[in-house]
Amino acid sequence: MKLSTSEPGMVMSALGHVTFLVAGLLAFSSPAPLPENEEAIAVEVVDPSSLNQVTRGERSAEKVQAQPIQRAERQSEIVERKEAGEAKQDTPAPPSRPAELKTADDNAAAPLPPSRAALLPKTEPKPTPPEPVKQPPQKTEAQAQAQAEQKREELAKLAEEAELASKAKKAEEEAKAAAKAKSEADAQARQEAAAKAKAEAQAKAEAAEAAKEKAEALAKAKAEAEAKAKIAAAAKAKQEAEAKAKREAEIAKNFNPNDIAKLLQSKEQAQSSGSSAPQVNRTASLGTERGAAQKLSPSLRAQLVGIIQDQLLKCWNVPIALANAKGSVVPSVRMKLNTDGSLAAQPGVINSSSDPLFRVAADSALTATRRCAPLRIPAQFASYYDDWRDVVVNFDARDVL
Amino acid sequence: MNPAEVAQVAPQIDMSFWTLFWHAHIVVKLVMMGLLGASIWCWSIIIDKTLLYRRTRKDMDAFEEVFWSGRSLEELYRDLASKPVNDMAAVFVAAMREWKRSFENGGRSVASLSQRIDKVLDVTIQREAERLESKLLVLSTVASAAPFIGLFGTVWGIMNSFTAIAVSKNSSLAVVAPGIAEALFATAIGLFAAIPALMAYNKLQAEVAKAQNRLEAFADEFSAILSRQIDERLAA
Repeated sequence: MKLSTSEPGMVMSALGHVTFLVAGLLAFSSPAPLPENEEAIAVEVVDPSSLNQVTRGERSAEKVQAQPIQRAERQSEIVERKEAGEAKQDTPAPPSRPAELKTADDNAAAPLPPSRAALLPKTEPKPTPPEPVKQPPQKTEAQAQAQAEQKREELAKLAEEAELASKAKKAEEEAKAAAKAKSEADAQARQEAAAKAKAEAQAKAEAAEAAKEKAEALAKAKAEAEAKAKIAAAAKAKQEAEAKAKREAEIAKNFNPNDIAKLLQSKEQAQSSGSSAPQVNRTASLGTERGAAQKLSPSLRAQLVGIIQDQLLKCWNVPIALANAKGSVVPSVRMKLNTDGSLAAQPGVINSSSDPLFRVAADSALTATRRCAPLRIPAQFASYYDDWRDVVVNFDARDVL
Repeated sequence: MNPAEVAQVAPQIDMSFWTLFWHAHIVVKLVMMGLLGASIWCWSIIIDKTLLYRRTRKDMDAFEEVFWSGRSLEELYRDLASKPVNDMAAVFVAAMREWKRSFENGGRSVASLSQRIDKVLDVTIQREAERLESKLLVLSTVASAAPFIGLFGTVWGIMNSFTAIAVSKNSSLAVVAPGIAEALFATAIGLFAAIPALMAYNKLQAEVAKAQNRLEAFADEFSAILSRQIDERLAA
């Protein structure tokens, strides 16, 4: 291909492409990484095994206990779980009560009647003590006493008030009289000044006398008014106190005894009849309702069964006839254990056989079970109590011989 | 496989042109190189043709100015016949040559001169148009074929990377992405070559048509002048 000045296309094109490639090589050498994609909702992955490690108990409990079990209020074979949730029914409305009705609560001096709510633990269905029966008379007595005291107090208060009012009135009147006297004296003085030339000395003496007289009269009137006001105030106070007592008496007469029942009903009943479990447990472990952390592994279970069986068989006096029967009769004894290994209930034989030897074998097995109690359960199994609280042990003569 | 592990597997993803080219399959490489060559060729044609048409336009303008300036045709022919000429001048020279040749031998072959001149004009115009149009077909071809060639490279590359995925049994995006990016690079180059080629082809084609029309118009006018001259001589 010839390169000519009239046709510079090839050279220019090649140069242009090389330039473009070099620019591209520089610009696109490292693409900017995409922004890190973050999850919209932070998700914590919990695998099934760690989920199973959530221990059994209650969410509201304070701490994880060494032996995680749920709370049980009653002893029962049937495990019943009740959550401490919200109340399912409405609380009855409190009884209507006139606002002015005096109650014992109003008076701090009166002893408070024992609170029913305090006596009743929320989740304990114990029979309520018969204390509330005693309550009404106590209450009425206290009320009467309180009323009397209140009345007395109020009377004293009213008297005090009246006194204060009269005092204020007196002071006012005094001030008024003084002002009047002053103004009169002023006028007199002016008159005096006008008629100074006439009879200065005489007029002065007369004026002074008149002023004195007037002042005396005023003082007298003032004292009288004061006394009158005092009497009026006392009367009024008495009247008011009487009216109030009357009103209260009226309300007390209208008091509806049904309100008491209503009041008692309004105290919230315990919503839960309590959860039940084979063993009463007042303090739950911290955990969840359905947590199942302490599960016995098959090997541990086998180990535990071996330990229990060992202990029982050592206590077992094998009847001679059974020893000769070569394992044709194997009574299975079911026993319920407490956490310390002692028997929670009478053990029982769960299988049966028509073999005449069975009766003897079963009795001897039950005897052995009773004799061996309490079983010594190693501490490492303490946390798996749920797994071994109900055990079935086969009393096989071949294991002993 | 979590993202952290993937990041460890592919620590530094280098996506430069060179890496994309170098990691590609040999077929894809060939496709890429071919397309790049086509692009270079296209651009050289585009540049050359653009310059040529500009020059042609200028020459035509200059010739027309001289032609219509009132100079005698004989004089003009003497000027132009000595050197190689293009386009309009070539048309003029061809027609004049035929004219001269017809009258050199005592004017015996004047009867169908006008027809001969027309033919000569036609042929010359055809030749000139061909000269202008040459290589434009390359642009057209590249414009239509380059995307397909690029696509072929891409399909091949993706096929290849899927095979690799099947072998490595790992379909995480960090593993798949480089192969696909390489494959797509072929299509990118194909489009890179095709788009300018297509646009330039349309533009240059229009320019050629315009130039050809102008030549034909000139030829018609010139033929009219010559035929008038012939008729005058025959009558004389």
